[in-house]
Amino acid sequence: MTPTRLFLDHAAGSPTLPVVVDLMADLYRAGIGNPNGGHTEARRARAILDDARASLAEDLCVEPRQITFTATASEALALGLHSVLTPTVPLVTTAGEHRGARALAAQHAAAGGAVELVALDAEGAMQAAGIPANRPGAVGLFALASGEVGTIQPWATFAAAWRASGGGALVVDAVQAAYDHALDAQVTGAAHLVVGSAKVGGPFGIAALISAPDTKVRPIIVGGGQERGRRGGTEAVVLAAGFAAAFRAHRLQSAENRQHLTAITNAFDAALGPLASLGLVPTGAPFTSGARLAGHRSYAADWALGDDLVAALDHAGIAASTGSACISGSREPSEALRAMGHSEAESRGGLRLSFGRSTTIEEAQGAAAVVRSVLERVRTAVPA
Amino acid sequence: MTLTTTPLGGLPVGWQAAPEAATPERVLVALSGGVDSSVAAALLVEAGHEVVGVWMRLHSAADQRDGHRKSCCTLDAADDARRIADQIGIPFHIQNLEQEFADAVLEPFVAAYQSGETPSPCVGCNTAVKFGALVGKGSALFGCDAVATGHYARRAVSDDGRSWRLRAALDTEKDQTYFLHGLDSAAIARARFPLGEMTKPEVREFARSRGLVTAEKPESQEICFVPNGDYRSLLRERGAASGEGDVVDESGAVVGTHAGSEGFTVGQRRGLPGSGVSARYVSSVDPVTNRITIAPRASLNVRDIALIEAATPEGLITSGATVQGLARIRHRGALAQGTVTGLGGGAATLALDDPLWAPSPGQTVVLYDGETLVAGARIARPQPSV
Repeated sequence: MTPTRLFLDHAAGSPTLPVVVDLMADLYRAGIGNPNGGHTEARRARAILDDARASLAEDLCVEPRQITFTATASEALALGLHSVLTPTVPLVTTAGEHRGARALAAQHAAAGGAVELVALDAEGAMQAAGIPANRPGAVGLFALASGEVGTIQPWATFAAAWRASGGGALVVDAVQAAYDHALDAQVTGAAHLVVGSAKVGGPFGIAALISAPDTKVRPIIVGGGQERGRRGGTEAVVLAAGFAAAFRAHRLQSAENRQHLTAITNAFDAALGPLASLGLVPTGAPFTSGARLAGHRSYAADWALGDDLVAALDHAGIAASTGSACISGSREPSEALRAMGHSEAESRGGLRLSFGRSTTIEEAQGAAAVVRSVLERVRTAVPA
Repeated sequence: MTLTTTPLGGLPVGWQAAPEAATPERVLVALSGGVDSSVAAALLVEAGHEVVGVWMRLHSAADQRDGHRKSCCTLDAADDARRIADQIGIPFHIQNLEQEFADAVLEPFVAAYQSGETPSPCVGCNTAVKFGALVGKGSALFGCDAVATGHYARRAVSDDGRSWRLRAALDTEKDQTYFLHGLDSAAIARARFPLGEMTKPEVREFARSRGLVTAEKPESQEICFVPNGDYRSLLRERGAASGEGDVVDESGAVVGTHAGSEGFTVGQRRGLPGSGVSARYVSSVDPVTNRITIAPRASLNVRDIALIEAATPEGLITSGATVQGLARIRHRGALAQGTVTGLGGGAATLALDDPLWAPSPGQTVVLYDGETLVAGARIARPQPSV
């Protein structure tokens, strides 16, 4: 094993920022616990939770009462959808959504609900022309950007077309987009919008649902009235504080980060050389396009399984991903890549490298040399 | 427990025990999530080798967590394999070999029943998957020189160092060379069997002494891709099950009916009429007429057996070539001296000095020269005994 490791899977969650770790450790040491109670200790915890909510609200241009903390983004997505969707309401989504969202759509279909897919173009962008015209009041479930292929959706155009077609409530996954650029939740027009903590350098185990002012949240977990009765269970105060601190730090450095990530991915591309000579095709929006998540590179190989490439790179010291979450080495092709017109073989051979603010230019260039040599070795040894 | 010899005898002239690697190697270990492969991996780590652990995802039965606990191929097994890798400090990867497994094991399994044979899926899995595709992946993805498993087997090398053979495990009760016979000389050269000199109790004791989480895990014995051993429902799912048919005696007279010929194998007694001295056994299965023939026990003794895919570790047995040795037609079954004569294209005949009982088409024949495995084949159609 190569002793030095390089983490290039930031799209799956970045290591928690040191300043956030320190903050959380201080809070844990101070004994911060349950914010629900009539005593001083509970009020102290409540104040920290209130501050976290207020900070996050300010960053997303909403009021604190619009925020519901959840354990994960998948939970927040489920909660948002549960609030607006009933079995008789049609659901419109795409084949390019995160696995969690696709599972929710599958659940709706299994319950007898109608599910329709909006087509993706070859770059993974949603086609406004594909919005079904005959589904007034349909609920839309869409991500602002694809974690798998890095495409930032033409959201303003799409949302306008959605409204014009008579579409109903929008449940929006902003987890990847929030890492890329500053967000105004109101402007998205979402009834419910989801942001996560780990992607912006906050702790794992917390996320948030941002609901439009006049939109009711229908709880899945009922309990002691926490989160205004929207989500039962004691709030994770310290995680919320870490989430809010990371989100704030990230927002303040957003432009700087984008610049840095663009510089390192450009250096990586140059050092890696022509993709065709490695048997790779790029996936998603063009690498130099503004419609691509900063720091995100995705490819497909028609001569190997993505999981195998990830394993070989791991052995060479690089943490990469296929981009599409899968269970225990399943060789199902990526639905997103299929929907974008990639062949079945390519759709099994997805590879994603996602850089973070901590990656240096030198590391990116070094990574390119390792990626090239690993891919060349594997490609020679495993004929198509 | 100390074992010094096997009923097969020692190493033949011109062959020696495979030596230990002189320098550390990079070895891929196929972790099944059981105690044997766990100990195999731990032994290699302790011997100073650079070890990479993999768990093979072979089929969709792997998605089950309950009701199939003894298999090596469930998510529970994958969890155990991952925990072992963590315990002994090696990298761990899941390798998807579903396609290779379907081609080399699953499809032939179904086809065998459709043609009235009894398949031997572990042989195909060892030859084409574990010591075939996995070796290629280990080399391509991780630069591994060798692949190790938790099989009970050893290796022998010719005095000139050019040829390799399987050698029976020291513990003859556990010896698994029968299921490994498809490995050719090159595959054997790259195979590692760290448990070849150990008994099962020694393996368990080693696992306990290292605190391995799989130390007390029960043995897996069923066919890994057939939950609860119900292979007939697998055949039904694939439209490969036959319906009711006749049971006839040696004269061709109908003596009863059966619920599907794929439920029977040559030598089977269960589910047939008669008992005691009148007991009858399946003597042949005809998939075309869906008819099972039964006969008295003595009728199933056979001296001449037709073979296909007959090969030595050096390749197919060519027309006119002969190989002599102690033949075995079942895992740990009786041994009889015999000669295989090649007929071309892998076809061959096995002439036995003493008869063996009930060779079953589709099953494996192996021949030992001393304790080395010198040839293997699949049983085609048996000739009537003289």
